[in-house]
Amino acid sequence: MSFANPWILLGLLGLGLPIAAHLLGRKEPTRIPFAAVQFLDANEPRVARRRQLHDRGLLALRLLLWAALIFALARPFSVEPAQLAVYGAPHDAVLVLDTSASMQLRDTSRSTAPRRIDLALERARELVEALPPGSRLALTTSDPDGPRDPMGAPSRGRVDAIAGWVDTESAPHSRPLVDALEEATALLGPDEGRPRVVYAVGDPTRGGLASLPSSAASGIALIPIDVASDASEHPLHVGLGAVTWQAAREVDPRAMRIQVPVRMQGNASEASDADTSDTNDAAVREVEVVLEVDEVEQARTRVSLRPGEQVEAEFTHTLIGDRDFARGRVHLNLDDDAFTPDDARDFWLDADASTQVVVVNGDPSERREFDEVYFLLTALRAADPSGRITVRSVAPDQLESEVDAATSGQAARPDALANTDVLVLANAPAPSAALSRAIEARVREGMGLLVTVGDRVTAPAYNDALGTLLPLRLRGASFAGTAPGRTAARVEGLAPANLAHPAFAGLRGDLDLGASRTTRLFLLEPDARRDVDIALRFASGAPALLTHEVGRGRVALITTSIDRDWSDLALRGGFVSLAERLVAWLGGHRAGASSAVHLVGARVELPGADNWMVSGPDGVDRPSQPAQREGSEAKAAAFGPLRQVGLYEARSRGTRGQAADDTALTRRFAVTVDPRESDTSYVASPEVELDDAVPVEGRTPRWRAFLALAALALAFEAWMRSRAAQRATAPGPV
Amino acid sequence: MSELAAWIPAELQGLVATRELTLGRAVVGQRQGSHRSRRAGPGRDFLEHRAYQPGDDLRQLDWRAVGRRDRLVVRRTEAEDEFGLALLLDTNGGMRFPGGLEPAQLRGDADHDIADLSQTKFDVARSIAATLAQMARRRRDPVGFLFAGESREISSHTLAPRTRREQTLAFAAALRDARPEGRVAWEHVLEAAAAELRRPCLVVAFSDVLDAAVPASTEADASAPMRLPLLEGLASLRARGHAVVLVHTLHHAELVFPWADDTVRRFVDLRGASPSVDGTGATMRERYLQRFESHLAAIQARCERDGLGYVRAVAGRPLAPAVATLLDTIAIREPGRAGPSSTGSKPGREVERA
Repeated sequence: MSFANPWILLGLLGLGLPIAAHLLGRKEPTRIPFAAVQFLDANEPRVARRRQLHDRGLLALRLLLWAALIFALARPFSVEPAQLAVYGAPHDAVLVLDTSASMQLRDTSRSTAPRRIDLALERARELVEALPPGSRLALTTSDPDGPRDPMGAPSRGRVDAIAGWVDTESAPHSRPLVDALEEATALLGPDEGRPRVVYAVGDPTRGGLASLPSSAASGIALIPIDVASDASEHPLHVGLGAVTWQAAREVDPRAMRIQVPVRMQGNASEASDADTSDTNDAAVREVEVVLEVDEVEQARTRVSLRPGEQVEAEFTHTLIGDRDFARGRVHLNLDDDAFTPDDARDFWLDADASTQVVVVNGDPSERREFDEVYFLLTALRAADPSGRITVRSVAPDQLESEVDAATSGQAARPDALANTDVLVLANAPAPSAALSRAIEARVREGMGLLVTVGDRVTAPAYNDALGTLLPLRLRGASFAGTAPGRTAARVEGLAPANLAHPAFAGLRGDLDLGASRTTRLFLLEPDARRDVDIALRFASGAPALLTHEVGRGRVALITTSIDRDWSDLALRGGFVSLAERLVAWLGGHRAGASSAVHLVGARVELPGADNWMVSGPDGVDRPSQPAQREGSEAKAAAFGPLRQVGLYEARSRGTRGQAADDTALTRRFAVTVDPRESDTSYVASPEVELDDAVPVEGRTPRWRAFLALAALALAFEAWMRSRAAQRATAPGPV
Repeated sequence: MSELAAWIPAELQGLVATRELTLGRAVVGQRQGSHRSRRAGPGRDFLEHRAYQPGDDLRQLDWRAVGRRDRLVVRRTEAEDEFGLALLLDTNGGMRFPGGLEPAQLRGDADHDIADLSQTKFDVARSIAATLAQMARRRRDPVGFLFAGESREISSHTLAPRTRREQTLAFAAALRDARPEGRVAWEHVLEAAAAELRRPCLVVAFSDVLDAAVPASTEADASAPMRLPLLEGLASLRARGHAVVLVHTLHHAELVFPWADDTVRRFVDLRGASPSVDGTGATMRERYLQRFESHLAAIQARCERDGLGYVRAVAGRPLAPAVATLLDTIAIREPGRAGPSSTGSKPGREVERA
């Protein structure tokens, strides 16, 4: 056994202190031969205590305690073969350190346990010392903005420099280790005939060592170095997933429902074992989830979790006051967790429900009962007296020309659809290819799309233009009740709504559309591969309202018209509720939360060419940088990379002094740790066998045993002391 | 004579030269001596007139009294007898005090005028005993001695007073060889002494009387009667007609307890009878003095009750006053109270001038 801090062993000299003090203290007193001793009092207690060596056992125990503490502080370790192999011949090496968020995991839930990043740095130091003489080493991390230490002589100091950067500047990013390989091989430089090796130090997770290929590039060996010493050391931890929220209008116009998944992360095998065993109650853990708004606790709830299980925690919160936004935070009330970066999630709550709806009116009519826009506007205004939903009606060619102008960079507005929350194609002819691309791009970014059909809609053209966006491809228009051998038109009613559909969340009772009469509808091509939700069906079973999620956006398709051409749906009272909920759901998409949430390391694009000032979680204002938008010559601003987790607020510089809630010129977003980094379950990394590699000795710390011994001695000492105290207070024999 | 003179300190030499060892009462001796006898006989002091009886020595007729009374009257005079001196010396280990201690260790704040603190209690006993023996020898009185020591085999044959020169030599040798040590089994010693002392004599006992079974330190126990086997034995001798004087031999340090500071000391019993006591003088002194005083008072009370003479001789202080007091104590005893005929009578008044 060796010691990392051998000089601390000097503290063992302190063992002699109590003994020496006692020996000095019990110096033989002056001896007085005396004849009248019987007239002297028996030994007085004070003198007797000073004279005698009391409780030799207790003294020995305290000496043991002291010695164990000294040994523990001296950090003993034993040298054993490590799970580390280096090339035996002199070579050029690059050490890539995984600094992603999952490396913050501790082996145990104690806050004193080393993090995996600490273990990785320790491995890096071992490796530096183990490289054969003549080798050269470059250092880098998986952080795209991390330090790059070019090729040079290996030394611990260089690793210490990286360690200093990790402690002060590292961000909990989610970049897979494999993405750093290219930079690593670039650091290796040109092939000079020497062996070239990339050592990747990381954890055995999906984004860590498991993401690595079996070799870095041709002629370059890749040696993964696992910091988790064995597969059993993959502790369970509890984490929060991405927060989502959406308006809960059935509660209050400013209410919102906040949902956050809570998951106990662990190996799938452990989870399944726990499910099948009878004693899995022991593995159940109760955690408290707390919602804070503007740093004030609003609610807390408890969830029970088994390993590998995910439970959804839900809060409903109503914004009060004048402001339309608030700082939200959901966190776990945990004393100890092996992985803390995912124990809290920040997000902006935004009650600004002003939804921009653009309706492409494919069949304008002077008679309003034959105009889709009229019905839609009427329904939305009835449902939304506060006017938070603004509807703009455009002709199909008008929108196309706006989009064309935007893509060619002529218009002042960079994107005709940029501020559109919901686009309604109401009986519109199939959009042009350019418009289709713009629509698809925006839908993937989070825009809602509602397609209603009518006479102007043709199935092939729509399938060509928007086939990928539509929930199901269109087959063709048909009369209701049409069946082989029957030609007479009949009417079709609507079945009760599928209230489980998220668009109808919180709805009490039915939509009351059962009495509607539909004479014509579009039939659809069945496609089992598409993930489609059917919110409304006709009585015959044919889908009337289908929804579908594309990217971060939502798409809905109503298979009949919303004017009186094909159906009297729009005349029914339930249409108001249907239209309002559908638009709110489409416009709410994954709600403000996810739309304004970015992962650590991302760059944020801010609209317009203005300069922006971005205030981060640390309260420091930083300016944005000009950026060039891809595929466009329009100027834009960007901010990033975002390295701090928390809430950000960006204001256009030109707007200083104006009202803070001028949302048109204020952008708020949250930066959070990638929920995928929470998955720390063990994933086997590729096996690498190197003929020319020699194993390296590793240091196994042994101080824990001494610490345990000290704790044991302390407990025993306390027990002995209390027993001695009891004896001292007990009445003595008479 | 010179054998004993070696043990008599200079300050007592004067006393030996000027004072006589006289008893304050009449004695009955075996042989003629210099002490006033209770019986009539050849002597100087008038005893009584008695009517002539046939057979009386005509030389004893007091013619002047015959002339006054007109009948034959015989003048009787007091005889002068020898009187034995029995010296009983306690050689328990405590008599060795303060053997080995430096005078500086014994000197209290108020003891700067004390002459010789290194003098042991046994030194004092030896000096006074030698003085008394010398004085007795000068008057040709027999002297006996007994060194009461640890041994249960008491060689008490020397206690019977004798006038032979061998006795004096033996006494001188015993004074030289005596080593105070251990404890004294007083019951055995005094039993043997009683058997040895067949005729009334003057018994002078030298002891620190610390062999008493001292009770525990609690107040309740302190008031319990103490057993003092030496005093019990001396009272028994007194009851047999001997004149008994206790020379209570103490040391100055025992009376004043000079250790009053905070230094921790270990007090070791010189007799080996009690366990050692550790402590500071500051915490022990007051209690010690209180208990020791009450012990001394109890001894004096016992002596007074039992008709024993009591004189205190303190080592480290001048001896001459103590010896003078002792001689006075022996001399002022009322005449006619000793002897077998007075057994059971009220003892003479004891004077204590410590």
